[in-house]
Amino acid sequence: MARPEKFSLRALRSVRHMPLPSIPWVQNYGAIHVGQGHDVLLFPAAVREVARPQVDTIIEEGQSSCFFHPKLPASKVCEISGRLICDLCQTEWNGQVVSFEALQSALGEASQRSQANTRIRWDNIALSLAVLPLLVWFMTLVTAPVALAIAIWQGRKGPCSVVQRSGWRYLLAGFLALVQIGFWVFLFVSEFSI
Amino acid sequence: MARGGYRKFSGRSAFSVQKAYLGEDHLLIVQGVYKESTKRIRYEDIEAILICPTKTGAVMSMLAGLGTVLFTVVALANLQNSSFVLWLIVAVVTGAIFGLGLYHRGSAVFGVQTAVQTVVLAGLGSRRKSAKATAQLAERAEAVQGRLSVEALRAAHQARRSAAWAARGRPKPTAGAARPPPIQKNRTAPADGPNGGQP
Repeated sequence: MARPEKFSLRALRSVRHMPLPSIPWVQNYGAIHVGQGHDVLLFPAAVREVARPQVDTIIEEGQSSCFFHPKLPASKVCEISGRLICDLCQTEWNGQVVSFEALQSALGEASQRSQANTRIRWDNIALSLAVLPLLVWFMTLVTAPVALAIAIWQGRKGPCSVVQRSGWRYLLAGFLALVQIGFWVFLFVSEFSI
Repeated sequence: MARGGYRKFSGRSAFSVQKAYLGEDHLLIVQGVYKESTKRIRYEDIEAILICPTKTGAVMSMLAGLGTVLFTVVALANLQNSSFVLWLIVAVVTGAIFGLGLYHRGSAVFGVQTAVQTVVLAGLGSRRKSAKATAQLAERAEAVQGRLSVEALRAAHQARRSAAWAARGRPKPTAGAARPPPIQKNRTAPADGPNGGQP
Protein backbone atom coordinates (compact mmCIF):
# COMPACT_ATOMS: atom_id res chain seq x y z
CA MET A 1 0.00 0.00 0.00
CA ALA A 2 0.99 3.58 -0.51
CA ARG A 3 3.09 5.24 2.14
CA PRO A 4 0.85 7.67 4.00
CA GLU A 5 2.05 11.20 4.58
CA LYS A 6 2.92 12.13 8.14
CA PHE A 7 0.05 13.90 9.89
CA SER A 8 -2.46 12.37 7.53
CA LEU A 9 -4.67 9.31 7.44
CA ARG A 10 -5.22 7.17 4.41
CA ALA A 11 -8.82 6.39 3.49
CA LEU A 12 -9.66 2.70 3.63
CA ARG A 13 -11.72 2.60 0.44
CA SER A 14 -9.79 5.02 -1.74
CA VAL A 15 -6.26 6.28 -2.22
CA ARG A 16 -7.01 9.72 -0.82
CA HIS A 17 -5.68 11.11 2.44
CA MET A 18 -7.33 13.12 5.17
CA PRO A 19 -5.66 15.30 7.80
CA LEU A 20 -5.44 14.15 11.39
CA PRO A 21 -8.52 15.06 13.42
CA SER A 22 -8.20 17.46 16.35
CA ILE A 23 -9.30 14.88 18.93
CA PRO A 24 -7.93 11.33 19.32
CA TRP A 25 -11.26 9.49 18.99
CA VAL A 26 -13.73 10.75 16.45
CA GLN A 27 -16.61 9.14 14.58
CA ASN A 28 -17.75 9.74 11.02
CA TYR A 29 -14.70 11.86 10.26
CA GLY A 30 -13.18 12.73 6.91
CA ALA A 31 -16.21 12.59 4.61
CA ILE A 32 -15.38 16.01 3.17
CA HIS A 33 -11.77 14.97 2.51
CA VAL A 34 -12.10 11.41 1.21
CA GLY A 35 -15.79 11.04 0.44
CA GLN A 36 -16.63 8.59 3.23
CA GLY A 37 -16.81 9.00 6.98
CA HIS A 38 -14.37 7.03 9.14
CA ASP A 39 -14.26 6.26 12.83
CA VAL A 40 -10.71 7.16 13.84
CA LEU A 41 -8.79 6.27 16.98
CA LEU A 42 -5.36 7.88 17.18
CA PHE A 43 -2.35 6.75 19.18
CA PRO A 44 0.73 8.73 20.28
CA ALA A 45 2.73 7.25 17.38
CA ALA A 46 0.65 9.38 15.01
CA VAL A 47 2.22 12.58 16.32
CA ARG A 48 5.63 11.18 17.28
CA GLU A 49 8.42 13.10 15.66
CA VAL A 50 10.94 10.82 14.01
CA ALA A 51 14.50 12.03 14.43
CA ARG A 52 15.99 12.21 10.96
CA PRO A 53 19.72 11.57 10.69
CA GLN A 54 21.57 14.70 9.71
CA VAL A 55 24.71 14.29 7.65
CA ASP A 56 26.97 17.25 8.12
CA THR A 57 29.60 18.26 5.65
CA ILE A 58 32.45 16.24 7.06
CA ILE A 59 34.30 15.52 3.87
CA GLU A 60 37.05 17.99 3.36
CA GLU A 61 39.27 17.98 0.35
CA GLY A 62 42.56 16.20 1.00
CA GLN A 63 41.67 15.07 4.52
CA SER A 64 39.24 12.18 4.18
CA SER A 65 39.94 8.98 2.37
CA CYS A 66 37.73 6.20 1.11
CA PHE A 67 37.04 3.42 3.62
CA PHE A 68 37.74 0.75 1.01
CA HIS A 69 40.50 2.59 -0.89
CA PRO A 70 42.67 4.48 1.62
CA LYS A 71 44.70 6.05 -1.15
CA LEU A 72 41.68 7.57 -2.87
CA PRO A 73 39.88 10.67 -1.59
CA ALA A 74 36.34 10.14 -0.33
CA SER A 75 33.64 11.97 -2.18
CA LYS A 76 30.40 10.73 -0.58
CA VAL A 77 28.99 9.12 2.54
CA CYS A 78 27.24 5.78 2.17
CA GLU A 79 23.66 6.35 3.33
CA ILE A 80 23.32 2.81 4.64
CA SER A 81 26.58 2.21 6.47
CA GLY A 82 27.67 5.80 7.00
CA ARG A 83 31.16 5.10 5.65
CA LEU A 84 33.13 7.54 3.58
CA ILE A 85 33.39 6.21 0.05
CA CYS A 86 35.10 7.25 -3.15
CA ASP A 87 33.68 7.54 -6.66
CA LEU A 88 34.68 3.96 -7.42
CA CYS A 89 32.71 2.48 -4.52
CA GLN A 90 29.47 4.37 -4.85
CA THR A 91 26.27 3.53 -6.61
CA GLU A 92 22.66 4.61 -6.38
CA TRP A 93 19.92 2.46 -4.89
CA ASN A 94 16.37 3.64 -4.20
CA GLY A 95 17.52 7.22 -4.62
CA GLN A 96 20.30 6.81 -2.04
CA VAL A 97 24.03 6.95 -2.50
CA VAL A 98 25.36 3.68 -1.12
CA SER A 99 28.50 1.60 -1.23
CA PHE A 100 28.48 -1.71 -3.09
CA GLU A 101 29.27 -3.63 0.07
CA ALA A 102 26.40 -2.07 2.05
CA LEU A 103 24.06 -2.64 -0.87
CA GLN A 104 25.03 -6.30 -1.05
CA SER A 105 24.42 -6.84 2.66
CA ALA A 106 21.15 -4.88 2.56
CA LEU A 107 19.84 -6.97 -0.34
CA GLY A 108 20.91 -10.16 1.40
CA GLU A 109 19.09 -9.18 4.60
CA ALA A 110 15.97 -8.22 2.66
CA SER A 111 15.99 -11.58 0.90
CA GLN A 112 16.43 -13.48 4.18
CA ARG A 113 13.65 -11.47 5.78
CA SER A 114 11.23 -12.21 2.97
CA GLN A 115 12.08 -15.93 3.11
CA ALA A 116 11.56 -16.03 6.87
CA ASN A 117 8.14 -14.40 6.46
CA THR A 118 6.95 -17.02 3.99
CA ARG A 119 6.25 -20.68 4.71
CA ILE A 120 4.84 -23.47 2.59
CA ARG A 121 1.82 -25.06 4.28
CA TRP A 122 2.50 -28.71 3.58
CA ASP A 123 -0.36 -29.73 5.90
CA ASN A 124 -2.91 -27.83 3.81
CA ILE A 125 -1.37 -29.19 0.60
CA ALA A 126 -1.58 -32.77 1.89
CA LEU A 127 -5.16 -32.32 3.10
CA SER A 128 -6.25 -30.74 -0.18
CA LEU A 129 -4.61 -33.55 -2.12
CA ALA A 130 -6.49 -36.04 0.00
CA VAL A 131 -9.90 -34.36 -0.18
CA LEU A 132 -10.35 -32.30 -3.35
CA PRO A 133 -9.56 -35.08 -5.90
CA LEU A 134 -12.52 -37.05 -4.49
CA LEU A 135 -14.64 -34.90 -6.81
CA VAL A 136 -12.86 -36.58 -9.73
CA TRP A 137 -12.41 -39.90 -7.99
CA PHE A 138 -10.02 -41.62 -10.43
CA MET A 139 -7.48 -38.86 -9.77
CA THR A 140 -7.03 -40.31 -6.29
CA LEU A 141 -4.96 -43.11 -7.83
CA VAL A 142 -2.18 -40.54 -8.18
CA THR A 143 -2.99 -37.98 -5.48
CA ALA A 144 -3.54 -40.35 -2.55
CA PRO A 145 0.06 -41.70 -2.54
CA VAL A 146 1.36 -38.15 -2.94
CA ALA A 147 -0.77 -36.94 -0.02
CA LEU A 148 0.41 -39.85 2.11
CA ALA A 149 4.04 -39.17 1.21
CA ILE A 150 3.71 -35.50 2.14
CA ALA A 151 1.93 -36.37 5.39
CA ILE A 152 4.75 -38.75 6.37
CA TRP A 153 7.66 -36.69 4.99
CA GLN A 154 6.60 -33.30 6.33
CA GLY A 155 4.45 -34.45 9.26
CA ARG A 156 7.55 -35.60 11.15
CA LYS A 157 8.85 -32.03 11.12
CA GLY A 158 5.79 -30.83 12.98
CA PRO A 159 3.40 -27.99 12.21
CA CYS A 160 4.63 -25.66 9.50
CA SER A 161 2.55 -22.64 10.47
CA VAL A 162 3.62 -19.79 12.70
CA VAL A 163 0.37 -19.89 14.62
CA GLN A 164 -1.18 -23.35 14.32
CA ARG A 165 0.28 -25.82 16.75
CA SER A 166 -1.60 -29.03 16.07
CA GLY A 167 -0.81 -31.47 13.29
CA TRP A 168 -4.35 -32.77 12.81
CA ARG A 169 -4.28 -31.88 9.13
CA TYR A 170 -1.39 -34.27 8.54
CA LEU A 171 -3.20 -37.00 10.47
CA LEU A 172 -6.46 -36.50 8.61
CA ALA A 173 -4.69 -36.29 5.24
CA GLY A 174 -2.73 -39.46 5.99
CA PHE A 175 -5.85 -41.31 7.11
CA LEU A 176 -7.87 -40.28 4.04
CA ALA A 177 -4.96 -41.12 1.74
CA LEU A 178 -4.66 -44.57 3.34
CA VAL A 179 -8.39 -45.20 2.87
CA GLN A 180 -8.13 -44.20 -0.80
CA ILE A 181 -5.06 -46.37 -1.35
CA GLY A 182 -6.86 -49.24 0.37
CA PHE A 183 -9.80 -48.74 -1.98
CA TRP A 184 -7.53 -48.88 -5.04
CA VAL A 185 -5.71 -51.98 -3.73
CA PHE A 186 -9.05 -53.68 -3.13
CA LEU A 187 -10.22 -52.68 -6.62
CA PHE A 188 -7.07 -54.03 -8.32
CA VAL A 189 -7.05 -57.25 -6.30
CA SER A 190 -10.72 -57.92 -7.02
CA GLU A 191 -10.18 -57.19 -10.74
CA PHE A 192 -7.17 -59.50 -11.04
CA SER A 193 -8.76 -62.25 -8.99
CA ILE A 194 -11.68 -62.37 -11.47
CA MET B 1 -4.72 -19.71 22.14
CA ALA B 2 -2.67 -20.31 19.01
CA ARG B 3 0.96 -21.38 18.82
CA GLY B 4 3.67 -19.07 20.13
CA GLY B 5 1.40 -17.18 22.53
CA TYR B 6 -0.72 -15.78 19.73
CA ARG B 7 -4.38 -15.07 20.32
CA LYS B 8 -6.82 -15.01 17.44
CA PHE B 9 -7.81 -11.50 16.44
CA SER B 10 -9.66 -11.94 13.17
CA GLY B 11 -10.52 -14.90 10.98
CA ARG B 12 -11.14 -15.49 7.32
CA SER B 13 -13.91 -13.74 5.45
CA ALA B 14 -15.98 -14.86 2.50
CA PHE B 15 -13.53 -13.35 0.02
CA SER B 16 -10.22 -13.43 1.87
CA VAL B 17 -7.98 -15.97 3.56
CA GLN B 18 -6.27 -13.35 5.70
CA LYS B 19 -6.14 -13.98 9.44
CA ALA B 20 -4.76 -11.88 12.24
CA TYR B 21 -3.40 -12.77 15.67
CA LEU B 22 -2.47 -10.73 18.71
CA GLY B 23 1.06 -11.43 19.87
CA GLU B 24 2.96 -10.21 22.89
CA ASP B 25 4.31 -7.06 21.26
CA HIS B 26 2.92 -7.18 17.74
CA LEU B 27 -0.08 -7.88 15.58
CA LEU B 28 0.57 -10.82 13.27
CA ILE B 29 -1.21 -10.90 9.91
CA VAL B 30 -1.18 -14.23 8.12
CA GLN B 31 -2.14 -14.53 4.47
CA GLY B 32 -2.37 -17.50 2.16
CA VAL B 33 -3.53 -21.11 2.26
CA TYR B 34 -0.73 -23.09 0.64
CA LYS B 35 1.99 -20.47 0.95
CA GLU B 36 1.67 -18.62 4.19
CA SER B 37 3.13 -15.14 4.34
CA THR B 38 3.21 -13.18 7.55
CA LYS B 39 3.41 -9.52 8.39
CA ARG B 40 4.10 -8.10 11.81
CA ILE B 41 2.91 -4.73 13.05
CA ARG B 42 4.40 -3.74 16.37
CA TYR B 43 1.98 -2.16 18.81
CA GLU B 44 4.31 0.78 19.31
CA ASP B 45 4.15 1.56 15.57
CA ILE B 46 0.36 1.70 15.29
CA GLU B 47 -0.63 5.28 14.57
CA ALA B 48 -4.36 4.90 14.09
CA ILE B 49 -7.23 2.48 13.87
CA LEU B 50 -9.67 3.33 11.12
CA ILE B 51 -13.17 1.98 10.64
CA CYS B 52 -15.12 2.87 7.54
CA PRO B 53 -18.80 1.87 7.73
CA THR B 54 -20.17 0.55 4.44
CA LYS B 55 -23.65 0.00 3.07
CA THR B 56 -23.10 -3.60 1.94
CA GLY B 57 -24.41 -5.12 5.17
CA ALA B 58 -27.51 -2.94 5.23
CA VAL B 59 -28.36 -3.82 1.63
CA MET B 60 -27.82 -7.54 2.28
CA SER B 61 -29.97 -7.39 5.42
CA MET B 62 -32.71 -5.56 3.59
CA LEU B 63 -32.72 -8.12 0.77
CA ALA B 64 -32.67 -10.97 3.28
CA GLY B 65 -35.57 -9.38 5.18
CA LEU B 66 -37.60 -9.02 2.00
CA GLY B 67 -36.76 -12.59 1.09
CA THR B 68 -37.89 -13.80 4.50
CA VAL B 69 -41.27 -12.12 4.15
CA LEU B 70 -41.66 -13.32 0.57
CA PHE B 71 -40.71 -16.94 1.26
CA THR B 72 -42.85 -17.06 4.41
CA VAL B 73 -45.85 -15.95 2.37
CA VAL B 74 -45.05 -18.54 -0.30
CA ALA B 75 -44.65 -21.22 2.36
CA LEU B 76 -47.99 -20.32 3.94
CA ALA B 77 -49.61 -20.37 0.50
CA ASN B 78 -48.32 -23.92 0.06
CA LEU B 79 -49.36 -25.04 3.51
CA GLN B 80 -51.24 -28.06 2.20
CA ASN B 81 -48.58 -29.03 -0.34
CA SER B 82 -45.43 -31.04 0.15
CA SER B 83 -43.31 -28.05 -0.96
CA PHE B 84 -44.24 -26.22 2.26
CA VAL B 85 -41.19 -27.58 4.09
CA LEU B 86 -38.85 -26.50 1.28
CA TRP B 87 -40.19 -22.94 1.26
CA LEU B 88 -40.09 -22.84 5.04
CA ILE B 89 -36.41 -23.86 5.04
CA VAL B 90 -35.60 -21.12 2.51
CA ALA B 91 -37.52 -18.60 4.64
CA VAL B 92 -35.65 -19.68 7.77
CA VAL B 93 -32.27 -19.38 6.00
CA THR B 94 -33.01 -15.88 4.72
CA GLY B 95 -34.38 -14.98 8.15
CA ALA B 96 -31.14 -16.17 9.72
CA ILE B 97 -29.15 -13.99 7.30
CA PHE B 98 -31.38 -11.04 8.21
CA GLY B 99 -30.89 -11.75 11.91
CA LEU B 100 -27.11 -12.00 11.49
CA GLY B 101 -27.12 -8.66 9.69
CA LEU B 102 -28.97 -7.05 12.58
CA TYR B 103 -26.68 -8.71 15.12
CA HIS B 104 -23.54 -7.47 13.37
CA ARG B 105 -24.99 -3.93 13.13
CA GLY B 106 -23.94 -3.46 9.51
CA SER B 107 -20.72 -3.87 7.60
CA ALA B 108 -17.46 -1.94 7.87
CA VAL B 109 -13.86 -1.92 6.71
CA PHE B 110 -11.28 -2.10 9.48
CA GLY B 111 -7.76 -0.78 8.96
CA VAL B 112 -4.61 -0.25 10.97
CA GLN B 113 -2.26 2.55 9.96
CA THR B 114 1.44 2.73 10.70
CA ALA B 115 4.03 5.19 9.45
CA VAL B 116 4.69 3.13 6.35
CA GLN B 117 1.49 1.29 5.52
CA THR B 118 -2.23 0.94 6.08
CA VAL B 119 -3.36 -2.67 6.47
CA VAL B 120 -7.00 -3.60 5.98
CA LEU B 121 -8.10 -6.62 8.03
CA ALA B 122 -10.64 -8.40 5.89
CA GLY B 123 -11.95 -10.64 8.69
CA LEU B 124 -13.37 -7.70 10.64
CA GLY B 125 -16.10 -6.87 8.17
CA SER B 126 -18.89 -5.94 10.56
CA ARG B 127 -19.38 -3.04 12.92
CA ARG B 128 -19.77 -5.33 15.92
CA LYS B 129 -16.51 -7.17 15.17
CA SER B 130 -14.75 -3.90 14.42
CA ALA B 131 -15.82 -2.38 17.73
CA LYS B 132 -14.63 -5.45 19.63
CA ALA B 133 -11.34 -5.54 17.72
CA THR B 134 -10.79 -1.82 18.32
CA ALA B 135 -11.13 -2.33 22.07
CA GLN B 136 -8.68 -5.26 22.04
CA LEU B 137 -6.09 -3.61 19.84
CA ALA B 138 -6.37 -0.22 21.54
CA GLU B 139 -5.79 -1.82 24.91
CA ARG B 140 -2.53 -3.38 23.70
CA ALA B 141 -1.33 -0.36 21.76
CA GLU B 142 -2.07 1.98 24.66
CA ALA B 143 -0.30 -0.34 27.07
CA VAL B 144 2.86 0.24 25.01
CA GLN B 145 2.41 3.81 23.79
CA GLY B 146 0.14 5.33 26.39
CA ARG B 147 -3.01 7.23 25.59
CA LEU B 148 -2.95 10.21 23.26
CA SER B 149 -4.44 13.22 25.01
CA VAL B 150 -6.32 16.03 23.29
CA GLU B 151 -3.69 18.50 24.53
CA ALA B 152 -0.83 16.48 23.05
CA LEU B 153 -2.63 16.20 19.72
CA ARG B 154 -3.38 19.93 19.62
CA ALA B 155 0.21 20.72 20.55
CA ALA B 156 1.41 18.51 17.70
CA HIS B 157 -0.93 20.26 15.28
CA GLN B 158 0.32 23.64 16.52
CA ALA B 159 3.96 22.60 16.22
CA ARG B 160 3.38 21.33 12.72
CA ARG B 161 1.70 24.57 11.67
CA SER B 162 4.55 26.59 13.16
CA ALA B 163 7.11 24.43 11.38
CA ALA B 164 5.25 24.85 8.10
CA TRP B 165 5.22 28.64 8.48
CA ALA B 166 8.88 28.66 9.46
CA ALA B 167 9.74 26.60 6.40
CA ARG B 168 8.03 29.19 4.21
CA GLY B 169 10.12 31.88 5.83
CA ARG B 170 7.15 33.90 6.98
CA PRO B 171 6.07 34.80 10.50
CA LYS B 172 3.10 32.89 11.78
CA PRO B 173 -0.09 34.97 11.51
CA THR B 174 -1.77 35.80 14.76
CA ALA B 175 -5.49 35.69 15.35
CA GLY B 176 -5.96 39.46 15.50
CA ALA B 177 -3.69 40.37 12.62
CA ALA B 178 -5.18 42.31 9.74
CA ARG B 179 -5.69 40.28 6.59
CA PRO B 180 -3.55 41.27 3.63
CA PRO B 181 -5.35 43.20 0.92
CA PRO B 182 -6.69 41.10 -1.94
CA ILE B 183 -4.59 40.87 -5.06
CA GLN B 184 -5.69 43.42 -7.58
CA LYS B 185 -6.42 41.89 -10.91
CA ASN B 186 -6.46 43.83 -14.12
CA ARG B 187 -10.12 43.36 -14.81
CA THR B 188 -11.99 44.79 -17.72
CA ALA B 189 -15.30 46.40 -16.94
CA PRO B 190 -18.30 45.19 -18.92
CA ALA B 191 -18.90 46.97 -22.20
CA ASP B 192 -22.30 48.14 -21.10
CA GLY B 193 -20.95 49.48 -17.78
CA PRO B 194 -20.58 53.11 -16.79
CA ASN B 195 -17.05 53.33 -18.24
CA GLY B 196 -17.99 51.79 -21.55
CA GLY B 197 -15.59 48.85 -21.29
CA GLN B 198 -12.63 50.85 -19.94
CA PRO B 199 -11.04 49.61 -16.68
